[in-house]
Amino acid sequence: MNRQTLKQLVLESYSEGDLDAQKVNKIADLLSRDELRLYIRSLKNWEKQNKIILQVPNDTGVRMKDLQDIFPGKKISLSLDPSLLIGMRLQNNDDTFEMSLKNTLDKITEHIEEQYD
Amino acid sequence: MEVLSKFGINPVLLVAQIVNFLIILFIVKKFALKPILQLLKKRQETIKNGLQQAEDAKRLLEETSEREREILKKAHVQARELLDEAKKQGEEQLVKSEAKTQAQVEKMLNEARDQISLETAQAEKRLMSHISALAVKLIEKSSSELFTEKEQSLIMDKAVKNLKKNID
Repeated sequence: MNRQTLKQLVLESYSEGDLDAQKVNKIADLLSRDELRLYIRSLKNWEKQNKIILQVPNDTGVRMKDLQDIFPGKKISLSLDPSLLIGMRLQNNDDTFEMSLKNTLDKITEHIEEQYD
Repeated sequence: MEVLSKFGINPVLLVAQIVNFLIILFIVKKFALKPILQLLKKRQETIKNGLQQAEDAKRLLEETSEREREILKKAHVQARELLDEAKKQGEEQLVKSEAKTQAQVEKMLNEARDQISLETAQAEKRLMSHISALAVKLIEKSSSELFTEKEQSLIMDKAVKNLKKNID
């Protein structure tokens, strides 16, 4: 299985921008063990490259359009994490951007503890 | 002669008496005086020796007494020196012991101070960690009441702007 075929399979696994479980299962049934491993890895890479994970404490003030403008062509996956308190955490590929009250408080606590080391 | 007769002296008898006296004198000198003189001389020497011995004994006693006094004096001086030396060594030992004890006490005090400082710092750190944790929990509990929806929206706006800056 060459790279072109693998990419085609990955693209076929999506329906209207979302990963389609039925399609994935059907494709997986047709692949050998090694091919299946390559397919799963490619799917993960595709998800990583084309998906942005956004975590917010609640849905108040979420500017999806602005984020879409910043990351054009990437799908934004929104999830709630109340421990952030206020602000957001965004993961793009291997980069993580966080501006939350929880992170700020953690940094303050860490700074205070460092003062006594 | 008549004069002698008048005094009742018989010249013949006088001469005879003189001769008798001389004979007795000779006999006494010959047989009695010499041993008596020798005896006296011997007695005199004995007494002289006794006196000499007494003198010697007295002198010896004085010398012995003098020597005893000197020995006692010397012993007294030596005892005094020994006592002074012992006293001096005792004082030196005391000073050394005091210095050593002082050093040990100082060392123990320093160690105690260090230990107290360390434990105080650790306690402060624990206390600050505890206070920080409490403060964070307090803020966590009351964050929804502390910030209005408008303020939360403003924070999100700011976060998006910062994100855009980072991306650019």
